[in-house]
Amino acid sequence: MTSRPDLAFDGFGTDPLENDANSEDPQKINILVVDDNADYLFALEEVLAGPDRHVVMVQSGEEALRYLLGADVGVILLDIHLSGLSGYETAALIRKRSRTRAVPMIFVTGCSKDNTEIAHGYSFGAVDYIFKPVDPTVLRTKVDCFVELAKSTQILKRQTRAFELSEKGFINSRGAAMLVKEAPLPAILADTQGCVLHANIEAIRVLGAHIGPCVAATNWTTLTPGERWLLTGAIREATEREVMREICVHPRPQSGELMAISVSLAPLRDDDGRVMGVLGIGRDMRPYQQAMLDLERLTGELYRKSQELGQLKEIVVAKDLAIFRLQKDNEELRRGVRSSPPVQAEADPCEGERP
Amino acid sequence: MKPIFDVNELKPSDHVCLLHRSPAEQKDSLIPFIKQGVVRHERCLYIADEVLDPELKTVLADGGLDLLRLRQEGSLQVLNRYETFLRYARFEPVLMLELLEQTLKRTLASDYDGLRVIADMSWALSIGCDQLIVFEAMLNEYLPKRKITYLCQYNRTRFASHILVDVLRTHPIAILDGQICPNVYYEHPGLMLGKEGSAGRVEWMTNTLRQTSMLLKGE
Repeated sequence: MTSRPDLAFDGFGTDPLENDANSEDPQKINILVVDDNADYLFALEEVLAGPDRHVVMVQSGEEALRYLLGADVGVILLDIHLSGLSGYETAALIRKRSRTRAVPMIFVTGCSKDNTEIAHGYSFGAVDYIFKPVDPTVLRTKVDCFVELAKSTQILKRQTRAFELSEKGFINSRGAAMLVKEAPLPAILADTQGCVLHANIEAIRVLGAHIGPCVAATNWTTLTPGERWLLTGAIREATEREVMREICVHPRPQSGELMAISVSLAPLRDDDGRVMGVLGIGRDMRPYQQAMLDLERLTGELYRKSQELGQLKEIVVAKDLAIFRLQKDNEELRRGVRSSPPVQAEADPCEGERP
Repeated sequence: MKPIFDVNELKPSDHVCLLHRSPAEQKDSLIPFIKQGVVRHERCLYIADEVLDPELKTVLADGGLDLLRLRQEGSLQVLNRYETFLRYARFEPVLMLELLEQTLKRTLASDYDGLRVIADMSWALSIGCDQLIVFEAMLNEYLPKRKITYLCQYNRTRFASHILVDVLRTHPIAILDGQICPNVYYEHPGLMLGKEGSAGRVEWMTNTLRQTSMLLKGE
């Protein structure tokens, strides 16, 4: 199946709908043929056509470069002697672009078989050199090789992409790395084996995290050996038992200050509910601990004050009671109900002077 | 139940304690235990304290046990306390039983007919023995109907006597001086875990007396 992208010349009036369908078929390998001889292109169509490929023919280097801006190709057949940009110049520009740098190019020439010219062609990135008139079988065989190679590459890319996009591959992906890197707190991402895959700068600084296996002896260098073991065990439990774990550790980073970090570990699951890793986020607990200490101190002060208040209340009540009794006794004496002096009056220094 | 007097007669779901003082004493029981596992196509899991005691390794090798070959074949797996009892940085009996269940499933999935666990229980000395006896009692509830033969090794010179008393109360079979002893002091998990009152204890004691009497009579 052949087609022309945005072709500016006549002679290949294939169905445009068919062309569109072909160009959009991601399974087919594009073969780009660049030659300013329309008759020659027509001949190549018959030679190169196949169900697994899409032969794209253009007549100039500019057209070829324009096409390569929007499409991937498996192999380029490039005539050296083109009008406008020469084959070599076109090749040099193709090699400059990162997207097309690795595309194999076969130079086609109807001129001399001079070794110097051939070497010149190879220096522009040609992988092969063929001469006109072209032997159809040889050309077909060579192009087939590159088509097969491109197919394998395409499959590999697709699988890699699928893996990247799949939930399982997520924790290994660059996206996951960025997520951890951008976290405003110490953050780590470990796989199901407990190996730390990603850790941000804070996790490395505060917790001494190392990317690598879940080995307590070599990881978490800012922690004491006991706490390394505890953290490693907690990560292992979160991944293996699929439970959330929270653990408080006391790292001493290079700055020398002793910190209190609460590390929350949560298993990450894919759509099927399978655990694919564990995400750990650390929080500095020192502000909370200071707040708790302040609260404790204030509670103590409040208690002491309330005790003092209680004592004062008791004194006031006792005095009120004494006054009340004195008044009562005095009242009784005044009425003559009571002959003996009141007991309370013993404490009263003014008792002897009373009438 | 017919009493066992030979290590080779041990079968899946048996729970045995080996009280020893030296690697030489361990060897007398461990070699037939591991060999029998190989014969029965059961995988042996040896849980060492930190590493396999070099002295024990030597005596086992002298006794004709090629540990390296067994490990290469997959018949013997050696793990330490950090990979098993203290895997999650703490000891909880339920977690260890969970791990045992997973190990058993993996073993059976690998076409073995069962699992033989040989555990050096010295790990308990490092973190305290509070949960140890609970675990041993729970094992007696867990093991029946499972293809696991569980042998616990206790070094008599390292464990306190009151712990060893409880160890003897939680193992139906004990190995002393290389001899297998049906353990008359064994108490079933209901009693050990306090699920049954004094009535249950009386029942257990009378049954034990009857069984001992039958044994003595040779019935």
